[in-house]
Amino acid sequence: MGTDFDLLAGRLWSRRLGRALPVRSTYSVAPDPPETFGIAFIRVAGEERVQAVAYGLMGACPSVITICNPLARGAHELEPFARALDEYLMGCYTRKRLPRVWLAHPAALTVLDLLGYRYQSNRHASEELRTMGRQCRALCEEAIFPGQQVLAVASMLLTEHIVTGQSTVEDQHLGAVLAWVDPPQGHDPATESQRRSLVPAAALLDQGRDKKVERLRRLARKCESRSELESTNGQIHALLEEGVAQEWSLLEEARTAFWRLGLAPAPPSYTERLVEASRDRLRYFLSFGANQPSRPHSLARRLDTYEYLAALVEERDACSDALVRERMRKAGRVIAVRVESVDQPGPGRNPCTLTLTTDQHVQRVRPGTVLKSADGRIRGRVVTLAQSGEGQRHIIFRLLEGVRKGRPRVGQLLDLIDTVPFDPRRVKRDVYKLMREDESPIVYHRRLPPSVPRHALPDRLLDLAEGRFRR
Amino acid sequence: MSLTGARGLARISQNPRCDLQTAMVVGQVDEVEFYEALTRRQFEGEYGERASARRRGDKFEASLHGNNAANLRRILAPRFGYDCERMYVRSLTDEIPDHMADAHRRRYLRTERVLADVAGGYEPPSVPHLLIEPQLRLPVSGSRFVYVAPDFAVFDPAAKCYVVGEEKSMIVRGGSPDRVDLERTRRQAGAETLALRALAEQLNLCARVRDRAIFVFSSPFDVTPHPPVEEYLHAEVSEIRRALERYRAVSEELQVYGRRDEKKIIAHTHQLRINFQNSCLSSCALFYHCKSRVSETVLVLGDEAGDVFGGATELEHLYALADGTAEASSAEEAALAARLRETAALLGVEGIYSGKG
Repeated sequence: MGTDFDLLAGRLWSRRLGRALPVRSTYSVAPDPPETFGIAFIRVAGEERVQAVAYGLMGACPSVITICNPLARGAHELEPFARALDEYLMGCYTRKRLPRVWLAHPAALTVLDLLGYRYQSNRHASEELRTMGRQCRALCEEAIFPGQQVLAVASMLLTEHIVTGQSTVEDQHLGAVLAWVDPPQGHDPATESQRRSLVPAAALLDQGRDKKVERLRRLARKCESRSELESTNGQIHALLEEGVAQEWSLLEEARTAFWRLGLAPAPPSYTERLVEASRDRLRYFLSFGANQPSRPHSLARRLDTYEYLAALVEERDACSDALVRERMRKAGRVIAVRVESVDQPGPGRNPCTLTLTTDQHVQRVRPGTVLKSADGRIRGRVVTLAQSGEGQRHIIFRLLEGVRKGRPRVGQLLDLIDTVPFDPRRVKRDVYKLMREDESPIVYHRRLPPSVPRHALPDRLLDLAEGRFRR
Repeated sequence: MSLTGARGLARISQNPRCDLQTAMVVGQVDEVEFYEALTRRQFEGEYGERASARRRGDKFEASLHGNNAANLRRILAPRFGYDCERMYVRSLTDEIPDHMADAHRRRYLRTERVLADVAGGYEPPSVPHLLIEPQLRLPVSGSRFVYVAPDFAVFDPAAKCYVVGEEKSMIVRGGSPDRVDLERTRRQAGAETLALRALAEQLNLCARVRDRAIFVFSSPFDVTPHPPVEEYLHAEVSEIRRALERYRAVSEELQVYGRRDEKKIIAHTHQLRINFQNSCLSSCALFYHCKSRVSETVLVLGDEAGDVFGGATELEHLYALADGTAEASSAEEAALAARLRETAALLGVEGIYSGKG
């Protein structure tokens, strides 16, 4: 993948300005529903086990669970979290609303996923915890789908919408990014970013607190009296609460900073499809489980879904986000054209052929390319291309849709985009059915069939060419 | 972030053009102390492995090696067609614990004897099916070596030689571990493979050693191992070779030969080349020190900026080109200036330059 020059140059200008710069003009996610659920973890490094969690509705005071002995077998301490998550998700479905769960960064997503793996079918856990496991897995499985609208990982959303004046690798620290998004008055964001990078933002205690907790846990194992044990555990709880409060605070700050970017919402005509797809998929995962596909057909169907959703996301961005559209134009994916003539023998009917001209420097168009207008009114196929003057190109364009009301006028200027989503899944279902009936060993079996011996080539290749050779 | 053995070579291989890092590996410095001696400031960041991570690693290793490596035998046996109950295991760290004098060299000699038996035509059970922590070494200069120790080596009956293996307690989900962690582990294994080949060469076994290794990671469930993964390491072996060349070159330049010598390295720091790049953030304690050395250049924006604008290009020069206060010295610079202005216009910050260009 080539470097996007505009994003790189954007970093240069961001550094000059001393603040982050938006690289989108619209939000890639639908607005937050009235109630959103936040989760912040503190994990045990290496074990990736939860030792503290803050959770609850964003904008309100979170509930906090701290676990003195996170490696112990039982996990009943997490049951209040399990109940709260279940209540939120089921409440959303009852009210036919999209759930929205906020996490601070990918490390929190990993912890959520591992909770899912460890509890979804754990026979030693309570039913509440198993439900929590299934719900965590469902959320994490949904997070992989392009354009999904359920799981909001703050650091990923922010870096998708802005560039900072530092490197991409430094952007992986959410605190460092926030120093650029919301620079404190009178402070150089680069210096502030470096200062904030000293404190982990990866669902971990800072090293100082971590060492104290480790020491207290060792002490707790040697306590001889109940009061001594309670006192030691009390200190552990306090340190864990401080740590998770910091993570929650970072999450709240990131979410607020994100919505304060002040971008426009994407038009509902594009967003609704993605929201509906997200809601339906999550409902399916919650009802039937979020097992990852492993067989040929289910894997192929999953890839088809990813591809189709990625095309929907790209179409939304190209059609409704001016900044993204301009970047796509520079890559030749969006072409500015002028309608020179319209050839339509029967008014309002097929065939309808447009002659277009463009002097755009970069165009990724060839005969057969299907293009649609950014306003969605027309769709067509490129028939031929020809150079017509210095830097100018003629495009003969046969309309497939929009021959009536959407038909452009002579002289009209249009943006044509090459993202024309096509949902292949229904067609492919039939293809997979035929494939299963055919049962080719290359696809379905573990071993390849024995090779078919080749016949020796004839002495006279001319005979072969003239079809006289018989097997 | 260790600087010793295979990990040190793996670090050099990630940034072979950084002679300062290579010097730190050669000099076996304590990174934090080195930072503080070099910068005369307290190291403020976090450094070192967390106790819980180290404990998990030890627990994972113990679970694999305990009971005559029962768990390790169980997961490796099917891959090589062995009966796991009949696998002959030798643990060189059990035979020669670390506290014994000259432990590395003695373990190396025992490993050498095992390979010599293989060269003599012996196969398991006359030689072990499984070696736990065999000792290998890589020649660096003259008679000097870097000792490396794979977590295990398993005899492959098809290749009639051992394959090195690494055990990592990192958790695998969806069939693959974290990419960054896997990259480091692959480089470490690359160093170990090269060391095995160096020993095999002496015994005319070189043709049997392939650039591959076995990796054993953890499942999400406690320290239960994930099924082993075999990977080919051609690129990593090649990069470790390059790392060794740099190790030798810097060692010769500084006249530091595998013993701790921070003072000498600090004395030569000004003449040691640095190569600031993205990967330094997660691997080197000197990240912010080196960043301050390149703070006027585009490298502060990341590797991509260095590739596109040229690593030594100063930020102020680009700003001056864009706002016309500096003359473009070539058609390329003029085009670059125009593109920078276009981007400023696209992002709505054209007021940032005076637009004289």
